[in-house]
Amino acid sequence: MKNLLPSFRIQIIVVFLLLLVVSILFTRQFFLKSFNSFLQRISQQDVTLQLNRLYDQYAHNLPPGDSEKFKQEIEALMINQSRTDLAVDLYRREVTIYSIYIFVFVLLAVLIIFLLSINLITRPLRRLQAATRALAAGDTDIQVRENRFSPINDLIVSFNQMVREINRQRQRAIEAEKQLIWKEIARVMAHEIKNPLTPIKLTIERLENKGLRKPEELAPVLKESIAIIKEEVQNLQSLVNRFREFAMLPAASKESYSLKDQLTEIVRAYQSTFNIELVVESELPSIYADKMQMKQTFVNLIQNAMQACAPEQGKLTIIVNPKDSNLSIVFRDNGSGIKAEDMSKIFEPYFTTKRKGTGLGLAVVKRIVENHGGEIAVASQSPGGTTLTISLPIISTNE
Amino acid sequence: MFDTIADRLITTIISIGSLIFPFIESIEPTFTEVQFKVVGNSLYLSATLENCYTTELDKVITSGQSVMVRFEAELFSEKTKKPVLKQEFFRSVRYNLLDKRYEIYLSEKESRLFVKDIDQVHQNLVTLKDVKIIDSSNLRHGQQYYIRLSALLENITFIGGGSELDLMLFWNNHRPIVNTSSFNTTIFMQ
Repeated sequence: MKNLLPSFRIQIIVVFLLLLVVSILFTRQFFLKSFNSFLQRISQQDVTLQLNRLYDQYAHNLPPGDSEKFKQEIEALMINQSRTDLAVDLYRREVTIYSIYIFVFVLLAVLIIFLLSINLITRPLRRLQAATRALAAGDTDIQVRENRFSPINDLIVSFNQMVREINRQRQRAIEAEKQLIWKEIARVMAHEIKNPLTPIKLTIERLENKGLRKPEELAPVLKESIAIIKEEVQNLQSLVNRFREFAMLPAASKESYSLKDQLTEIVRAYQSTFNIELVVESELPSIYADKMQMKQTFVNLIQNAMQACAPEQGKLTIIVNPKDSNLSIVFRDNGSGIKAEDMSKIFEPYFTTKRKGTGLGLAVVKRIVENHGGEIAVASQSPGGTTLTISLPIISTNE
Repeated sequence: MFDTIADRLITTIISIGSLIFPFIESIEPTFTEVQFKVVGNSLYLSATLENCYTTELDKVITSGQSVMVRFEAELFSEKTKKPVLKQEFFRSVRYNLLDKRYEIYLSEKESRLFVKDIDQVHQNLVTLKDVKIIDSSNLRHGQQYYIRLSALLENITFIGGGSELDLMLFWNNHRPIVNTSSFNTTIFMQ
């Protein structure tokens, strides 16, 4: 709901100004009233009128010379009184107007001081608020400018220290994570290399035994042994290639081509050994992508589905259809599914539930899809099957 | 220390405030067009000061103190723009509080007028009628001249004798000035 009241800061300023104006006006009113009342009491003493009466009463009874002198004296007194009245009148006006000057000055001075004080508090608070938002967004290098005149400078200093500490902790965490990853890589590599090495070692020992003890039986064993060693070396080479592919995924070499044709070709190769249904809209737009990387992605997902399904009842359905400005490619199998606790890890490198897996397949798929500006999502039930949905943007070659 | 700072601060506030909003109601008087009249070898001038009275100024006039309007008529050379001759005269008014009448003195004619009504004071104090300014001997043949006429209110003594009230505050410290059209010695031949 929209707040109809102005900000709290404005409310404080308005209330403060109202109080200030009212208090100054009351004070001014009190002093002016007292002053005017005093002047009124003075003016009630109508000296001029009394002097007039005095003159009328005595002037005609005095000798001619004295009468003139008396008139001059009375007139001088009246002028003096008149001057006083005039001075009082001007003074009253001065006090009234000057009090307005002082009122306006005090009001402006207090307002300026008040705004400066408010600013001294609220400005660093706003900076602190912005820094907090930046920190929440992941900017751990953010620092708020310190101002030793600010009343909340201690808070700012503490915030900056906290951010520096968070940064240090984060760096330590990254280092620790890197170490963990390297350890994990080493563990997986050791495990994966050990597997082919064992049959190689056993085969060589077998050859050694035959060669030393029964040289006549060496010939028939040699061919078989060489085949085993070759196969295991091939496995090792394949393993190394997969790691290299993950570590150094080449930049996508994009081209415009028909996804329908590509999927049809891939699916045809597997359909003799596995039940795959491909559902593609007839009017499917061309996609602009790296053909090889896309093939690697689709093959990987098909092989995963085949490994997850029972050989006889297994089925994979691939549905392709355009959705808004994206192309949706859904891989739905009826295999063993993914356990709920593993769902968040399946795209992590080196995570695998297979006995002979490297845990790099889905990680590579995710990287390829993301490199093409797309997304990959998974939904699964264990048991019940898994649905992997790839969403790729439809981009024309001009874009 | 505090008194000094407070005094200076208040004085500054009042000075700045007075510039923006003066405490005395003031007006800016102006002269009507100056009329010339030549009689023999003398040049006479007529003009009236307008918009020159306020209620406050009337109060000062009726207070019984002598209020003086000083006039200056300066003869300027059109060529050099410098004054050649200066003629000063004044009008004063004093209200007699006992006789309840105004006494107006015209210095240029050395004459006195007695009037009862403030409106008559207004008229007679600032109306210049055929005031002799120069003789033809003051002008050089072939040169152009003009006359600058100005007026100002003299200060009056305030209470206590020592202080004065600057009556020019009523005129917003603005001295009314009027320049005549230029003329030369031929003016005396018309």
